[in-house]
Amino acid sequence: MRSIRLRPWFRWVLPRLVCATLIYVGGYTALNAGLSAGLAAEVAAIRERGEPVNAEELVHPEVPAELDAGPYFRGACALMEGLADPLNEELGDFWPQVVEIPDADPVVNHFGWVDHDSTPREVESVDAWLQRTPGLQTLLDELARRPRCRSNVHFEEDGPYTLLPHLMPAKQLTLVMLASSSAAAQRGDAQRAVAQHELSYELARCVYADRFCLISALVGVSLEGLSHAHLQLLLSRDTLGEAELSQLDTALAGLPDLEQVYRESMHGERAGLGTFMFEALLEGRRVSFMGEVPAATGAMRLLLLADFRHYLEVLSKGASVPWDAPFDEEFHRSMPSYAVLSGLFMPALGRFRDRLKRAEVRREVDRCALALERERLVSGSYPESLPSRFATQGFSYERVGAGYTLTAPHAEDALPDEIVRFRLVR
Amino acid sequence: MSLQRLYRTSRPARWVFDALIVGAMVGALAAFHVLPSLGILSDDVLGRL
Repeated sequence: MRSIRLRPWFRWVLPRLVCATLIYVGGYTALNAGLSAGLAAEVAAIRERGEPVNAEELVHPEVPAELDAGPYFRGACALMEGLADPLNEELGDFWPQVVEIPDADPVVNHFGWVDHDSTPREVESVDAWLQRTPGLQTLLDELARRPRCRSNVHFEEDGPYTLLPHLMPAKQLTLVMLASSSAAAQRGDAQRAVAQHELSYELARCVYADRFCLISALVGVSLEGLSHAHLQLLLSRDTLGEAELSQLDTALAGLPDLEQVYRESMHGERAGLGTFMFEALLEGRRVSFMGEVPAATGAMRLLLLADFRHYLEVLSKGASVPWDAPFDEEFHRSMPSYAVLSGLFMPALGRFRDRLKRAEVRREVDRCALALERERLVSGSYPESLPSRFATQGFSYERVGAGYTLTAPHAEDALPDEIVRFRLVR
Repeated sequence: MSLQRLYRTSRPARWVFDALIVGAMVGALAAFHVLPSLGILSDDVLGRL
């Protein structure tokens, strides 16, 4: 009886259900194929340019062991991590900075070290602490002897959550080296002052060696910023001779090319963060910091495919524009509504480029300051106008007392932090 | 006139109703298909991105 009552209902529903299934399966298959083909074309274009596509392809080139500073860098960072607490206990919270002190003794102390709460601090104890900790200095001296650095950071397992435990100790080490350099300059030990200052460049070089990691690039830039501030202190002390100035100039010239840093960071972001996450979500994978990620199906998959393609397009465009050329950030404002994850994974390209440009200008200003210092050693005083090879870069040069102020070109409405300036006070 | 009567007597109305019914079925199929991946929206995944 039941089957007889159901039959007309079933005969009505079946053709409609078949029709709906055909429409859905056909539509889904067509959309899936279309979006996958678009994505594959974008991936093929990246491969054609010889750029890494996924996290497995972010490989650091081999470096002969005798040239590789990497193990010493990591050893020094690991040691510093263990020493951070004793250092803090002995010398207070160790995050000091070099600042200009306008009303200080004009002969000795126009630049000084202050604590995070802006109270002045002495640095002789830091140098003494460093000399009581010979292992650290030995590792850093070995590091300085090796011209290349191979990172051991691998992105294929954890993608954006790859641990970078060396960054914090690298910053602390840089501060310790610069403080030690200041202390040596104060004692008139120019050789040690320069060697320790140079080590800060070596540490930045090792941090940049992470290559595909935007965070490491930003930390490298920040370490260079610390060295820039300290160079003003060092040159204002007037302890360096021609040999030491050349040594610093060579070290500055040997810092990694920022154009390459930008390009590789973009490749790393794209392959190690975006592609890693989109692939995990599209295919379903176990990701260490998330557990089991289910594979996207149905509309979610279509949405992710479109989003992924948009992400690749925008980031490829960002990486292809020369890093120091003007860059239209219109895409940040005109994100399509489906590009939810793109927005989440997209680095702040414009800000990153600005930081790198400032770092580049800082290097040029520092090298200009070293050239001026050499000129002073020869002629006895700083020149009244900027040497022609630096004047073409648009730096403004102003004699102030026995020293000078050198300012890089900047927008009129630039914030104080955005202005690159080198003050030498005598 | 009841909807049922309209469905039985008018051909255009039947087409419209059928289209609505098939559309609803397609929607239901899409909803069932996306169901296994809704875990992505959980805090364990989306919250940690």
